[in-house]
Amino acid sequence: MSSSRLTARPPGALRGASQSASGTSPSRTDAAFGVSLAGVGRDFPGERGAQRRVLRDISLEVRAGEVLAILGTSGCGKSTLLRIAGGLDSATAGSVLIDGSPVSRFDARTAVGFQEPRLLPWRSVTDNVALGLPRGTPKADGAARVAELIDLVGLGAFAGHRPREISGGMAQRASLARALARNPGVLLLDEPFGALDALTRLKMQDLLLDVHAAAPTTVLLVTHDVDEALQLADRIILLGRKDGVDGSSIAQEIVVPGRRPRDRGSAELAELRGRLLAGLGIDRHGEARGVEKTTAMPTFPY
Amino acid sequence: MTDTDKLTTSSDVRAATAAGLPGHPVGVRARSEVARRTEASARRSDSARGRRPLTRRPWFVIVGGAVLPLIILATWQAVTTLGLVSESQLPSPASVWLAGVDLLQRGLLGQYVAISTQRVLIGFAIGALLGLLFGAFVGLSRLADILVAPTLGAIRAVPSLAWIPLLILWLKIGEESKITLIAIGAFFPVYTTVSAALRHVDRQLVEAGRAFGYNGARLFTTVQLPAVLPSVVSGLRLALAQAWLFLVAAELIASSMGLGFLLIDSQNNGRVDRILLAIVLLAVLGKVTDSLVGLFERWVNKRWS
Repeated sequence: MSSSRLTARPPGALRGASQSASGTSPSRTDAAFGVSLAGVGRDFPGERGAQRRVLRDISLEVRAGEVLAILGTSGCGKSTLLRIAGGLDSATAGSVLIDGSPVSRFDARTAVGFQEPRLLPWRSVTDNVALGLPRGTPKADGAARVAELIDLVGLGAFAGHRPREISGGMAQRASLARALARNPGVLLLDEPFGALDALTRLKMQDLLLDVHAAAPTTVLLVTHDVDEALQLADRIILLGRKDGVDGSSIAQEIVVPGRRPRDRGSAELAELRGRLLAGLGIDRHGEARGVEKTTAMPTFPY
Repeated sequence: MTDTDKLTTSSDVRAATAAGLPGHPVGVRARSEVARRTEASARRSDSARGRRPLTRRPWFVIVGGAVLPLIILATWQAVTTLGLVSESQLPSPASVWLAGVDLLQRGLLGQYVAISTQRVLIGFAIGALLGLLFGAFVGLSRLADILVAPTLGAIRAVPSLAWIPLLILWLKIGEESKITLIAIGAFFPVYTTVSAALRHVDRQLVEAGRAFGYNGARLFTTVQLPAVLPSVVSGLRLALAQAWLFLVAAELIASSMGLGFLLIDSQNNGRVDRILLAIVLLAVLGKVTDSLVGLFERWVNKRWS
């Protein structure tokens, strides 16, 4: 249902809206901040006082305006890493700097798009997006910016609706608009499209690319979807555990070739996908290095 | 696309080929069938919307609610006219009515109802406000929970009548002692529901609020308070019922006015008709105020959830 609503809006219209938005924005500074992680580790208190190490020795430089995807299996600590970067959680080791200064609790320079929409059910879409506005935004500017963002994510016709009256994909778009309303230097996205159906997810990815093109902020994107990472990111890090060592660290780092939007069917990306899937412990059922195991798909009858 | 493409069933196709007609009329027929089908389904959904089940129609709800009181009244009347119980034990409805009219003409009934309602409303307002404040503190702050909650829990366990001697000695027999007792009664339902509800506000929403720069009082008014508002109102409803309960407790022991005084005074004079009158009035007043809060509750539930 949600995907059919999405298709009702031609992609060109969305792109047009995003371009006009970038042209006429009243209160946008377009500052993108670099993020620098040095030796970050995180222990959680486990049973009977024992510490359970989730992350260790993560050092990473994210350039301003870069889109970095953080990939990993469930429970590998990728969300924890993102939360540490946004000041929603704090590291037990190492340091996190945003734009050269240490990250503070619920850092105002970042905005989070959660896996769930997390909209306030008693507020309309407009008022929910307005929640993201930085404190002290003048009323008229704020209203204009909210309206602009709602148009950008294609929810213009649903601005007055409550979250329960719109589909999951629309709620997720409202959530993205709310994060953008904060005008963040670093946008943190925690599997933002994970709960959506496959088609809506693809459309949301394109929407995110449009948004990033309109306002090129730094994006840290946590996902378990290899294709999503390849489609959206400049660079992908794969978190993983080494045998016999507690806590995940960066197991692979891949610079994704090509410019966005990328061809979803490209052979080069297919090869990278194979490598990343192997890193996640998934058998690709084919030979590495792009040489196919069988010359052709078997035809029916076998 | 030709018109034959619109034929929906094989029998349509057969009819079309047999007739040797160009697809047109057949196509039209197929369409009208579809149209009839959608009309029928529309009518069905219309009837579903228009003719609601009996239990959902307003007049039935009102009449249904009045059935049992009318039966009780009729039984009461029958019992007294048949002389099954002596008049001194159970006066007839008519004599209760006359007792009411008599008190009204002497200006006492209006005064009693007014003073009782005033006590309930003032006590309820004070108690509910304090309950909201303490509930917010205990629900939001772990420290307040540790320091205050056990004591309040113990005070809550004290039966209402146990307060009366102390309140009379401290505050004398006046409005203060009664209003304080009613406030104590109204305090606890609000305090309990608010503190419990605040502890169970969706953590994800609260975190989202914090992540967007809200904290302290702003976080409370933006996320937590609206989230618990439906529970607050159901707490208020309970508190109002409790306020009427404590009112009678206060007025029975020490008063010179009010419905509780009417009860105890009539007991001393053996006026069963006035006792019944006071009971009926308490039932009606309690139900009316409860319905008013119930309306407010419905609005809140629609607006804030």
